[in-house]
Amino acid sequence: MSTVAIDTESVRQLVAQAQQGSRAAVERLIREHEPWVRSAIYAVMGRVDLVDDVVQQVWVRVWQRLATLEDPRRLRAWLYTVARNAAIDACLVEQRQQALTRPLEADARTPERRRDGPFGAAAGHELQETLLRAVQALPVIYREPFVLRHLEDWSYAEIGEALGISVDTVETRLVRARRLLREMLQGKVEL
Amino acid sequence: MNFGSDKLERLLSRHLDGECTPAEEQLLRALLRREREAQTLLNEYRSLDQQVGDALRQALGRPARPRAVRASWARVGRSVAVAVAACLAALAWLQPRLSPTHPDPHRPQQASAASWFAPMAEGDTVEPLPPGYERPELRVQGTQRDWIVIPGDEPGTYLVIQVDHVRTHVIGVHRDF
Repeated sequence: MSTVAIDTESVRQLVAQAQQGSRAAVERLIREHEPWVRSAIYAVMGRVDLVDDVVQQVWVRVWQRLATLEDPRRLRAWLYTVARNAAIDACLVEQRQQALTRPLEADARTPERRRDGPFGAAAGHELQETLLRAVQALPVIYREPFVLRHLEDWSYAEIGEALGISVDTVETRLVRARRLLREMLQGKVEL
Repeated sequence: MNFGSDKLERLLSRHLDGECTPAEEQLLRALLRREREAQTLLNEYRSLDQQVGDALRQALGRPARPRAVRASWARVGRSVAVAVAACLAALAWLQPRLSPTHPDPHRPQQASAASWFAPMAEGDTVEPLPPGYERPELRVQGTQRDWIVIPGDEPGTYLVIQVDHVRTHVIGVHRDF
């Protein structure tokens, strides 16, 4: 697998400064990488409402473990792994909590969703909800490349590098993600 | 579909993601010309990408992306072609009225007397429409009607051109894989 060139020298310097404890370097690293880290977390979890909490955990972990990053060229793949692990951990915690509170939440949510009705902004909201539910329903191995492709515009090579899979596998997963989404959304949205 | 479904989907997916080689793009163009189902599937996937992408960006607070450029450009291109054709027809219609007193030697010859665009000869008359006559309103379902109004050479005269665009609808085709 080829390493995608992302201005290697400046990344190396940035990582080196951050590893030496430079607060400014860490802040810059966060600023430059936070948008796609959020996408990566969403890609794994499929839920927007949990992203903010997990992002905080990711940067804490990055701060704690940055010294273990030996090859700065692999920064993105390394960050992706940290973000993915944090998202998986958060999923497990969320699933445990949901198992305990599900009966109560099911009763509480129903009236709220029906309040707006199918008109105006509410209809647009319904459409967005339908689309996001379909993305959430995708198996995570298909959702990850799909979200990275659509939110970050990453190439197959970039996605492959971040996920640690070949370009062919990225392609196959994207084809299957689109096929599944089309099947799920046919008849529900205008295609 | 002659081209295998799986191969076609891969090709469409690569095309939508901007990963096609020039040879693949050429192959896809040929396929789309030949097979209507391929075009339908491409439209569906493009629409799906656009809608899901918009939903994702909105959910994560990202700025929206401009609408599907290629599809809209294709529609604009068709409309522009129709409009240009209509304008050319209008210019040909107006040409005799706008021609100067001293004809330009470089100007093309006037339309022949048999042409629709020929100026009225002396003694020609226009028969009035019979009372109660209405133009037939033949309207094909699924068309969009536009009018192009061009002012004539005298106040109160206009050339009105009615343009019917055939609108393309995407028809869902269910397929099991």
